[in-house]
Amino acid sequence: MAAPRQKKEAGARRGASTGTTWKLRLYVAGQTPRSVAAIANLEMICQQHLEGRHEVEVVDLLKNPKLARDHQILAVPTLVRQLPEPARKIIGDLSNVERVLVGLELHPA
Amino acid sequence: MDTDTKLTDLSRENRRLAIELAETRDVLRAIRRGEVDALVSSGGDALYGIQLAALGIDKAETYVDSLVLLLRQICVAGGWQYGEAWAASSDRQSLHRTSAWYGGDSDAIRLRECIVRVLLEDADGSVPGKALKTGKTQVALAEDLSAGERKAAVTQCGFQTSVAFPVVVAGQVTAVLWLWKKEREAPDHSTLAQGESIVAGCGAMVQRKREEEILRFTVGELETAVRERAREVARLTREKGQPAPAPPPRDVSFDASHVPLLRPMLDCMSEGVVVADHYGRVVQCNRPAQEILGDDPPGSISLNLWPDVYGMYHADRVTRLDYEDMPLVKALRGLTVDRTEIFVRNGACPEGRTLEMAARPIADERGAQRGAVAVLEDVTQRRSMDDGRLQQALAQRDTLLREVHHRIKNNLAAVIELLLRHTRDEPKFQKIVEQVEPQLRAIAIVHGLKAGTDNAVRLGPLVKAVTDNIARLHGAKAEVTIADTLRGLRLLEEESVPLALVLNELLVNARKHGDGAPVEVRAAPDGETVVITVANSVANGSRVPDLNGGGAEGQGISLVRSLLPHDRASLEFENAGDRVSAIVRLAPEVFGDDPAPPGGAA
Repeated sequence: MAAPRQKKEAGARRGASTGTTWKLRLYVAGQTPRSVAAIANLEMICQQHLEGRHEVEVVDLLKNPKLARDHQILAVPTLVRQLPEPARKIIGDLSNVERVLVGLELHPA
Repeated sequence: MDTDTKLTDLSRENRRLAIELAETRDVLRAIRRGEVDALVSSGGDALYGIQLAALGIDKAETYVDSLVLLLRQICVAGGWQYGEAWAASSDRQSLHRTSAWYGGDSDAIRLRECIVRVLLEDADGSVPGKALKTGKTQVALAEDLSAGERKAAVTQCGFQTSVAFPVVVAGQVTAVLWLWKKEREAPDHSTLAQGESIVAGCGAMVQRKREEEILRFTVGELETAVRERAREVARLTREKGQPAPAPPPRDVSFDASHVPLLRPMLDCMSEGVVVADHYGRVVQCNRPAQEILGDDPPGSISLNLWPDVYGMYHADRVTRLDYEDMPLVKALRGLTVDRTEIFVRNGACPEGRTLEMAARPIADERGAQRGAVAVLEDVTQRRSMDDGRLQQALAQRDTLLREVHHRIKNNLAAVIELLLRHTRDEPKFQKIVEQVEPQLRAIAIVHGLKAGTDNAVRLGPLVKAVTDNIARLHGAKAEVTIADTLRGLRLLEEESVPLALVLNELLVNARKHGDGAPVEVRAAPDGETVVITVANSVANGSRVPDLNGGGAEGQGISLVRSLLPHDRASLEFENAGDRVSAIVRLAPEVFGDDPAPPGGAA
């Protein structure tokens, strides 16, 4: 089973370098310092590592509470990489850039 | 079901559980790092049971802080859009609304402006009252509320469904959390069970905060009483003529007895002061800040709505200020913001105000950030005075500049007079002076124009003045035609003297080689360029030399070519029978971009 997984991850890294559009969705709840920090950190990471090749959607669960259950979100803030597949979730305010890059497979672990 | 199918199902289920386990571990790690605001949906009851405390409720500094954290958790987990906390009185006979609330948009302020106390005997018509009376969770739709101020506010906010969770500690209801959402649907059993589980898990922590606070307050009261008693003892001792006991060492730091002075002190300040807690809620806003920002009391407006509600712009007065760019929000992120200028325009102040804002994070004695403070100063009048002073300085500079150009023009006239006087004594220089005089006068014309009212040299007046100068010096006739659209064109500072000299040379040349007929000077637009033509006719039978680089150029034409900016102008000659035309084509870059002065230039 290990071989196909390695293949997919290699594909995601290739996505970062070949111009595939990355679809990211950030779940927050209101304007808390952590959610503001998560949005700012995500903007910075996208600018530095995915310039012009990403779509970011910020979902405020206070406005759309049902989306959390539909998308199996456990905590806020949570960043979900929808594309390239496979989907990946990163929980927290994204303040540790290295951890985020590894989680998004933008950076070799 | 055969064995293979069972194995496939089990394998799929194992895979799902493995993913869930990995995600749950990620959540726990993020909670321990302090990077999570709230848990959303259950990854298993164990997750809530184990880590709710790690969300910071037990570490909250005050009772209200702990209630806010609890409200946030329960709102996010259950999909509630607004929540407020009501505390029970010590005799459990009434509830009063605390200052703890979470979520909601700007309309939710209406709910917080309504009744603040519910008595148990009136509980039948009140959702939190019923929760206090029964100790059980109460679900109600907006239409179930008794008619009144609260029901009207709920309707205005668009809330449809509510639930009241009693916080029960040691069998007694100590508080009630009242939550609202805009969807009209009764919460399902699991949502209610989840909410009750969160309240049950955290209720004791929250109540402990309340008790600690009451104890702190009591200690403060006792300390005040002791101080008053000591003062009374000292007074009585003085009256009895005995030496007063030495006063206790004075603590000059801010203590609890100063708290009542805080608000009046803030209101006395000339600057506006706004303080937000670490949840980003405005907790202090002094009177000057309210006056500066407009008529809505800023404490009631969520910070993310400030740019829209108060009409906040960057210093350019056009670009709307983003939430992220507000100094107070930057300070909440731990940044220090020094004097930043912003512009505010709203219904209370349609003409707008210029504000200078500075903001700092607030840290407690352990260095943990507790919020942020912003100081606002209305500098509209100061900016207006600065602008006035700047205008005055500019006007003064223009006057001085005009004076300088006027003096240069006069000095050039004096130089010309001196040269002419020397020529009378030394006739051998006459030819040179005849050549130099119109050139100096052309330069003097430029300075004369710059000494005019708008410090600018415009095409129409320059062409006319240089042509008139040649006509006056040599007694030649000239006809000047300038397109109306070109009269007011302003020449760039560095191009005006070269162009005056170029025109001068072309006119001198035309007069010299002409047959005495008037020289024609025309300025007309040609696409984006401006074309100046100096044309003269030659006597019948005269040979017209080819001046387009044919090697027959005189000194004057060489001077013209050297003066013209190569990349922005060109010179060519046309011979048509007995007429010679010198054509100067000027690119748009030769001209400035300011409009012609009102009324145009002659």
